[in-house]
Amino acid sequence: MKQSLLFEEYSGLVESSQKRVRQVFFAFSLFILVYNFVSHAWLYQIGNTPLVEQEIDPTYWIFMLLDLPELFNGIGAIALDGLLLFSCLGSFIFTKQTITCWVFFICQFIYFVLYNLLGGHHNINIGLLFMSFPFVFASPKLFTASFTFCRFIFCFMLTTAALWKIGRGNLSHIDQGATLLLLQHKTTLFTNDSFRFQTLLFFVQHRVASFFLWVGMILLESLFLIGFITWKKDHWLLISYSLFFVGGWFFFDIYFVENLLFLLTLSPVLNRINNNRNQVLREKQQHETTANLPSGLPLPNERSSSRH
Amino acid sequence: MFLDFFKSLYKKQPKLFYLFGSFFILQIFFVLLKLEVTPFFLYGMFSENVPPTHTFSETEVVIDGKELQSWELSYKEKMLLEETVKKYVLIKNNNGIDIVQTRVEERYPFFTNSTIYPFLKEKIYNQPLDLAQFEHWLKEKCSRISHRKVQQVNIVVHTYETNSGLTTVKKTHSETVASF
Repeated sequence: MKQSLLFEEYSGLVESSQKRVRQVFFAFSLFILVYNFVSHAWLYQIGNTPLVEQEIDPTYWIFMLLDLPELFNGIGAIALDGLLLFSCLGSFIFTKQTITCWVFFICQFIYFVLYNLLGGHHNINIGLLFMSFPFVFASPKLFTASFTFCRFIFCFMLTTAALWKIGRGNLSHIDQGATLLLLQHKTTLFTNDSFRFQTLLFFVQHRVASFFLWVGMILLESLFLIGFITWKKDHWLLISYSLFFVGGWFFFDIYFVENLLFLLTLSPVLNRINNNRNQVLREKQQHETTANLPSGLPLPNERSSSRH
Repeated sequence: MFLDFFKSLYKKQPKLFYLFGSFFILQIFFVLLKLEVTPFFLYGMFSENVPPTHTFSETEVVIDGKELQSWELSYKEKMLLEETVKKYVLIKNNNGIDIVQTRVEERYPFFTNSTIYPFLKEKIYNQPLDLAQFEHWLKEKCSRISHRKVQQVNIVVHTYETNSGLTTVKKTHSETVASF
């Protein structure tokens, strides 16, 4: 009974935030699109490199069998980039429809696969891909269900990341952290004397310290198991992921900005979005109340204080 | 909460129950198979045990005598160039054969012996002729980065060795893999 109450409370929170979350999501997505443009990461900017990184992923093989890299090249690439941009803008501005959300989701999936195919590495920057899915639903119930599903994907991503590391014996492999840092940064460790690289070099030289750092990271990932059980500890998850994100940038040059969108599924963020919306509504109501009152009459606050 | 989510879906939105339920079952299935099938991702980043080492190699792109790293590049563009050049070097060192092809043929003989494999082979792997086209693409990229027509691009692999205390590093070997 308690568990189902937890779920109903979370669902209620998500349902009441739908419109505002949509605006926040697409505003952030627009920021990501602009960031990608400035980084020359739009499809037409990458150009069609003939060497693709397909790995042993059947989805990528299907793309190649269907000649999709050739189709989305030149004009096709510009069209896809344009569709992404305008569907994002459309979803942000026109909030009562979901057609642009469908277009955005489908284009984002195609872009995701093509970018990784052409970019030489299968990145796990999946936040934008998964989180765009719930917004294809106009119905609050369907949106809430899909949004909650994305929350569990987020928790699954990090919990299994911890399990992979534990399962592969990282907890007994003292050199893991130090060796990864050395192989990630290589000669820069020895040539760059900034605070960041001096810190990294310290951890490379002191493998036990690196080991504890690595174990700490596994603990941060493991915390997300709680996300499957309750939403009441989401503030822990928010702190945990923030540390994970900053640590990923600082130690490994990884910043999947797109994955920050998963934080929308955490209750402190949802509450914040809701509080901001309620604050705006309260201020609007107060303004309308004062504007409609005839002059000379005390305001509600003054009436209550006059009793004392 | 997770179980209540599915109980609620089963009662109120059975179609979503089957959709999301299938998704999770397939996700677990592919994790057990250790096979990534987008969007069923494997999240084992950096989990493979790496043995301690004092040697490593770095692949460098030199544009008209100047290293690529000396230009201001965004994170994404730097990653894109580094990863695609790494792929190029791997294929070149594999006699022009896609390393994915080598791996598939070693690990999955049931697939490579199938009747459709010869057709798939032409479509899903990089071909030796793609190397020359990649060189052209890379030169165009380098021209854009350096804001001028590039004459020569060299891809050099340097091998380094650190001392036991990891306080110094020295270059032990350099090899120009490609020059175009």
